[in-house]
Amino acid sequence: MDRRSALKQAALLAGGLAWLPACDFGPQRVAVALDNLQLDVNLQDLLAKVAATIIPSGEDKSDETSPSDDSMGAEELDLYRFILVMVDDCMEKEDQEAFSNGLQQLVPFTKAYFEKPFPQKETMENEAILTQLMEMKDAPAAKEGIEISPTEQLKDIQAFLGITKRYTVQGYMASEYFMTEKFPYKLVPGAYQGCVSTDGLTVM
Amino acid sequence: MANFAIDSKDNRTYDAIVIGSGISGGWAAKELCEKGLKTLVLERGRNVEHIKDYPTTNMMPWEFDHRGQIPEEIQKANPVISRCYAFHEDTEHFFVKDTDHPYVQDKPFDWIRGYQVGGKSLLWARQVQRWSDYDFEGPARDGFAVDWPIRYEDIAPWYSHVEKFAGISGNKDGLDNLPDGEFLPPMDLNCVEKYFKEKLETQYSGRNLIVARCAHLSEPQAIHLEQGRGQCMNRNLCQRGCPFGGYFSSNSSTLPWAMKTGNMTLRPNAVVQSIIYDEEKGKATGVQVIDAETKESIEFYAPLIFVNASALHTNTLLLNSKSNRFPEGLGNDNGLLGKYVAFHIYRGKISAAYDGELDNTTVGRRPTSGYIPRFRNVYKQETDFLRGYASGFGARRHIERDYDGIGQSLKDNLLNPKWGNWRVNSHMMGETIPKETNTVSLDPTQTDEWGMPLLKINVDYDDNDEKMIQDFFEQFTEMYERAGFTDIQTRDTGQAPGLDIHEMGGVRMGKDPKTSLLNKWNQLHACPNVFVTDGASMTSTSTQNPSLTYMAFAARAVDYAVQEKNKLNL
Repeated sequence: MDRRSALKQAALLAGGLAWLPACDFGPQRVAVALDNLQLDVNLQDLLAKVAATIIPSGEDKSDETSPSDDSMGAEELDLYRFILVMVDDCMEKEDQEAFSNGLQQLVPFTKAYFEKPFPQKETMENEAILTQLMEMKDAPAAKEGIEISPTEQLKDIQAFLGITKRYTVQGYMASEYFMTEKFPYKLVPGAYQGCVSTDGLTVM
Repeated sequence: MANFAIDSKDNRTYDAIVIGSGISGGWAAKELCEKGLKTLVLERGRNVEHIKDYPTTNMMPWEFDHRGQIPEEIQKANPVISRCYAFHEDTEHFFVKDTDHPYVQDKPFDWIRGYQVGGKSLLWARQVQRWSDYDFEGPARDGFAVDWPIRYEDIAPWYSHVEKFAGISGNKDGLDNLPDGEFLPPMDLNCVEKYFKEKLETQYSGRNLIVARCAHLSEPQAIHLEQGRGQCMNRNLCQRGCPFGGYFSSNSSTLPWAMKTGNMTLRPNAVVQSIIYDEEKGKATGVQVIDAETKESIEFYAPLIFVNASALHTNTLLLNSKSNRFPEGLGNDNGLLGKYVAFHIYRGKISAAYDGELDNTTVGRRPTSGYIPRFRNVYKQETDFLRGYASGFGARRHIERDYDGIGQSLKDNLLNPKWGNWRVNSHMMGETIPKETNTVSLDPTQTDEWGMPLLKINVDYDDNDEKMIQDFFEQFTEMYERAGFTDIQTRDTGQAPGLDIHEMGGVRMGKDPKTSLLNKWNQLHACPNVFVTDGASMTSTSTQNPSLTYMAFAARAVDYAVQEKNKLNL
């Protein structure tokens, strides 16, 4: 076994830990307490990075004339917490396993088979990596020295990304921010009107 | 000495006992208390006080950990309630968990229960359509079950009586197959619903689309304000319990009203095991109760007993009330108790798209929908199946969002939805024919935590039901096509009986004690001081949501019972 393969295998065995130095989330976070999933704080941080790639932060374009603030993304809304709670409480065991495996395989897989591993510093680069993963039809040919078949890895990673995207979108649209600032939800909506012109009306 | 007094029989004796505090028990309690009878209301579940015990009522969507979804573990443990449309994170606490109250399914039956003060009146869909003589005359005309011992004219004043107090929003549509009632202003049909109404009513004779009558205070009157209830705010979060009392429930309306008379004693956590029958007196004298929490056994006494334990549980209770005189259950001389159970068919659904009215939409929420009264076999038999179905109809403007991809483009798409076309939906509410083979009975060996035998349910669809479902699909496909709707999709949910939550019968009314359990006053033929005025009493089901009829039966039966009591006949 050459040195390169050995390193990759070590990375695989170590699961998500190997990418730790690349994580730039700053102060150490406390892991979300879970009942079924076993994911340490580093994997939870990686999940947060994936969610932040799916719904990125944006520029704060609000000023005196327009209060629109599109800066909030998955990171500001802490959507990884919602994703973890939903996967932990609301999914069947086999989906939880696929989610968990996929999350753990994400870094080793991209390290082994992609030009640049996930995560990169630039959001655009991360987006390109995840998009490529989600759209891959066939797994790459197995590399010598890597025991887990890339087909299995890719299957779990795609399942993980699908689940994560679903809950990131749901968490974003059902967030207090989205439901107060973007599309205000009214607990007491007033009279029902059965026929109103859409002219000038916010689509919601 | 004090304890002695509390335990004395006198202190456990009332003028009347009502078993159950749901939609019909609440009515029995209100009417009895208003007429001056000291009334004990027994409820097997916990107390739920109006507003105070609606923990989720003012929560925002994002305040629910799972955004409304029921966690997997709870769903797995409770497959029956998990199939109910109203079982969500915000209403979970008002449903009986499958695991807490087991029953035996000889055939699949989804039994949805609300064991608490107020029962399922907190959770109901609040649809209140009157029956007409085309419904009451069904069994006699078509030769099934037994003839109803009453007609529309017998119950019409009692429909009015309960409608005025409960508060019903509706339009006077002038239809002979769905009589008008005492209505507060109707809710609106939207533009596409109005369009379909116009198409339907010009293209067919006898097919109408109306806005469904619903138990909401669209414009509260003095009698509603006196109950402490206010205007419906169209929140459409009804099943959480309404802080405005905008819709009718026992909790917001009849029970507090009964309490105000000073004549009601409400005892939650009281599991009634049986009705006590005294052979010498030839009547029921009281009830045997187990305290749900302490498991202590207590007897309560009254010369008048109303059974409103919910359709199937009323059957359990009567079947379990055995004595020398009634070895097969109270009032069960003919062996028909627990038989001829029926329900409503909710299996058929149909949806479509409509590409008109694209300059218009709806604003706000509406706690009701459109309604198409039964049009099949109303005036005469015209199909190869008996009876027919009513249907809901609703239209809403679709909002399109592009969920493709990830990153900034996805975010932009989520923030910039577009108007789609309109989507329309209907679901059927079909009448089933009560049959001797559709039964409930007591399991011979298994009992629950309180020593009650488990109920065995043996209820199924039949060929008539299957034909009716096909007819619904055919007729609605044609009606949709003629209205220019596209992308028409039919769906048979395949759901088990029971999920309609319109289970009825087992203690049916009738003229003849040989073929029925109750007379025209909802009084047991063989034990006249016991009245059954909930869903168990139904001789046939017709298509209308049944609660309004139970309420009217309860009020009517109390009126009769008190008259008889005053004449010393009871």
